[in-house]
Amino acid sequence: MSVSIDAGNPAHRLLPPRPVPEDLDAHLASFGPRPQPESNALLDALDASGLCGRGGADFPTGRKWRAVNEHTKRGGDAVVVANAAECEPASFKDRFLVTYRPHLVLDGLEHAAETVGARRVVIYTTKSHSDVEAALSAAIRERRRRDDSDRFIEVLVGPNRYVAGEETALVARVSGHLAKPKIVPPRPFQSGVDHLPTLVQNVETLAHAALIARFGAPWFRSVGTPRSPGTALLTVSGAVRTPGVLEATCDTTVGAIVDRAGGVDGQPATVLLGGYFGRWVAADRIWSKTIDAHSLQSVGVSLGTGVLVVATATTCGISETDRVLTFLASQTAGQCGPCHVGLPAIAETFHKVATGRARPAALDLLVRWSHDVRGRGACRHPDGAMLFLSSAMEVFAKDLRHHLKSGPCRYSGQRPLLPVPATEAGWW
Amino acid sequence: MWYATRASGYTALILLSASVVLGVLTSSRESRPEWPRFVVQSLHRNVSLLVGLFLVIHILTSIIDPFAKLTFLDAFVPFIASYRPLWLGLGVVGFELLIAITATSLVRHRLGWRTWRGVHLFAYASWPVGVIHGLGTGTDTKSLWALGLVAVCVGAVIAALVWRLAHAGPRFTALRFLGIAGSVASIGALILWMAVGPLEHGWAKAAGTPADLLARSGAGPTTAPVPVTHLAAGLNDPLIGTLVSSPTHATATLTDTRDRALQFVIVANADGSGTLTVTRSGGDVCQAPATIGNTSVTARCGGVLAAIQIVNQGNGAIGGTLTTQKATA
Amino acid sequence: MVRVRLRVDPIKCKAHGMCGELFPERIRMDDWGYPVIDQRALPDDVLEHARRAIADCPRAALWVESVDEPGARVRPDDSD
Repeated sequence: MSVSIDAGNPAHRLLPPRPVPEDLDAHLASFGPRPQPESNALLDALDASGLCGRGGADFPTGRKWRAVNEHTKRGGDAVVVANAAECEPASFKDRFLVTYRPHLVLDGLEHAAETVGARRVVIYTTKSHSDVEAALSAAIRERRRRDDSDRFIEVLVGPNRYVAGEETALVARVSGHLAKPKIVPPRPFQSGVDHLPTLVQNVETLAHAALIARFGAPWFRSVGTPRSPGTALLTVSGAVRTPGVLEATCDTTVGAIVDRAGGVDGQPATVLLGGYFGRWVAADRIWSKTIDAHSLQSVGVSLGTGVLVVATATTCGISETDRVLTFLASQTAGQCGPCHVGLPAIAETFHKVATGRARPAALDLLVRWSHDVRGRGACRHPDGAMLFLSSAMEVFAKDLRHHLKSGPCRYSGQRPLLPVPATEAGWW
Repeated sequence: MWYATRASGYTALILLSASVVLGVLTSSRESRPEWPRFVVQSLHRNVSLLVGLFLVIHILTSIIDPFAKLTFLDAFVPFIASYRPLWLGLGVVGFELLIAITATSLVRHRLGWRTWRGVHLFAYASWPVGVIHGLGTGTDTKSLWALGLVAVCVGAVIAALVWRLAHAGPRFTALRFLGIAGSVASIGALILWMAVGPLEHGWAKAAGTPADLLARSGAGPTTAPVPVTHLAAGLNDPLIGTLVSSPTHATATLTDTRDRALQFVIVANADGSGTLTVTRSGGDVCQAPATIGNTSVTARCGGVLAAIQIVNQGNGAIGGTLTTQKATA
Repeated sequence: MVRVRLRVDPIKCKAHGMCGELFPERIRMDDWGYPVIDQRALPDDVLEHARRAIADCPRAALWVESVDEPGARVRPDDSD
């Protein structure tokens, strides 16, 4: 993935104007010193800003911090974990943010720690992103040398498995156990790391929070839409000329975003939005839609982790789906029957359909099974995978019937669009 | 009463074997329309409770019956009994394991599955312990019906284990193979042990049956009954009697409380010499010169060394302990 | 009176299948032997079956929780 930061957009907030990592001096030159607002003031500002989590869940940030605060107000400790794991294979935004503006992320992390009264502050990344670990450690060392804060920020490295970035799995790993999800309730804000109230927040969200702390809620809302104020980071890839990480205001259309990524190399046919728990959608349905949450909802999709993959008619959506589904089936934590038995069964059946070795009844089986596994795991892994699958079966319905009858099409052997990383063996 | 002990013991063994088989079937998740899983599990639980009931009967009757002279303590502390201590002790171990298993199963929901299961696995230990206890202590071990019964029980459990291991999922192949091989090999080991142990002549004595029981029952594995005219070795019996002193000598007359026909007369002379006369039902067993100590008297009676410890209880009443062992020279 | 529904802990559940046999009114087994539990509130006349299923589950993976207050476990031996 090439380093391409779109420097032309005047709405730049998170990403630096040039692709140069900002050290502490540059950071202070850009933003000035970190303010230390009173907790309630910052919570009010977050509420007013309408900032929502950028890790895929889109949950109101102010409410999340308040929930943890409620538990620590009565006395007792809390833990804050910044999620820089980015286990979504097609997403690069978090890594980029941490590489180019680590101090903005760390500022946000410190704000969170102060507001919820956290004793332990952790930033969590994965083994395969060693450059992230290096960038963070360097930035933390810089801050300590500068004596800006006596707060000790721990960099913790977890396994690169898809579910390891899930909230409860992350909490488990930070608590010193295997990075596997747990059932909720209790949610981390009630009982998380070492049974303490824990705030888990995506690094992009923390960076936005750091800006809100400096510039206020009205400033944040000055761009974007009422439902989705401010800007968002997206990873644009697929059949675009200059794939990369972009920052866009939430009132920008999908088409405009793709243009900023160099435009489509051919005619856009379908778009995958949100990541591997996201949905496929026909390009013409979404091209003129903004990335505002309501607008996307009207075509049945959401921004998720900000992954936007453009596919042309020469992309075989079935073989792409087949590969990703097989990947997702290999990424279960092996804890819940419907998921770790069901997903491989579903992936195998879909593979048979894709390679023309299944009977028509297989399609009904897929639909039935995909309904069966939803909601029956401890986490949302089966749900997300099935959302992805059902959107593929809908958008690529014609291709699906073709594959069922005649096996792989002439585009099936092409270079794959969606990356599928090698699976790591461990959970530690 | 000893019949009650043996009967309840064999019943408990049958039920325990059935319980193990049912337990193995329950964990296998097999089910048939006529035998839903919850029925198999329910049976397993109920049969296990019955095992407990029969074990209690088995233990109580063994204590009440004077034959083996077992005390309440012998039922809870393994290996201290006077009757076949090792083999009886195994029964105690098995019993205590079953208490733990039953207790944890009753509060299973509060304990958490891992703890409950850790204890429950000891069922795989308590069953063989019970089988070996039965074979080692069993009065009936040599009889055909008992051997047949035990063979059926062992066969059923081993068959269930082998079946379960063979039907297990694809994981742990090496462990499953070892498990099956181990189960089958243990039958071979059991048969070998039986051949040189419980089925051999002289087992009761080797197992630690007190000698007087051997003598009395006569149905012990020794072909010849102990001759009445000799004093038996391996005795450890309390005695009571009287002491009559005169200026020249003292005469102690003692009766064996365990074998009231056996009487001892010790004559101790002023010069330190003495004699021991042993009679049974009035007839002479032996008469020999005795070494008189302060509180003990020793004499050699044929091939047996007899020692009598004497306790003066005052007013002419005395008590004592008789110990006999084979003379070495 | 607390309205309750039956829940299963999918991590503890190991597809032993007792619950489906004991409470077929609200539990059906999927194609892989795992329980699919009807999430509606349980009427009084089936509560005893729910309790039996909870008690007999080999992994203690079932419990009832309050419909109105999810996360509030109701002990299996509570009588309403």
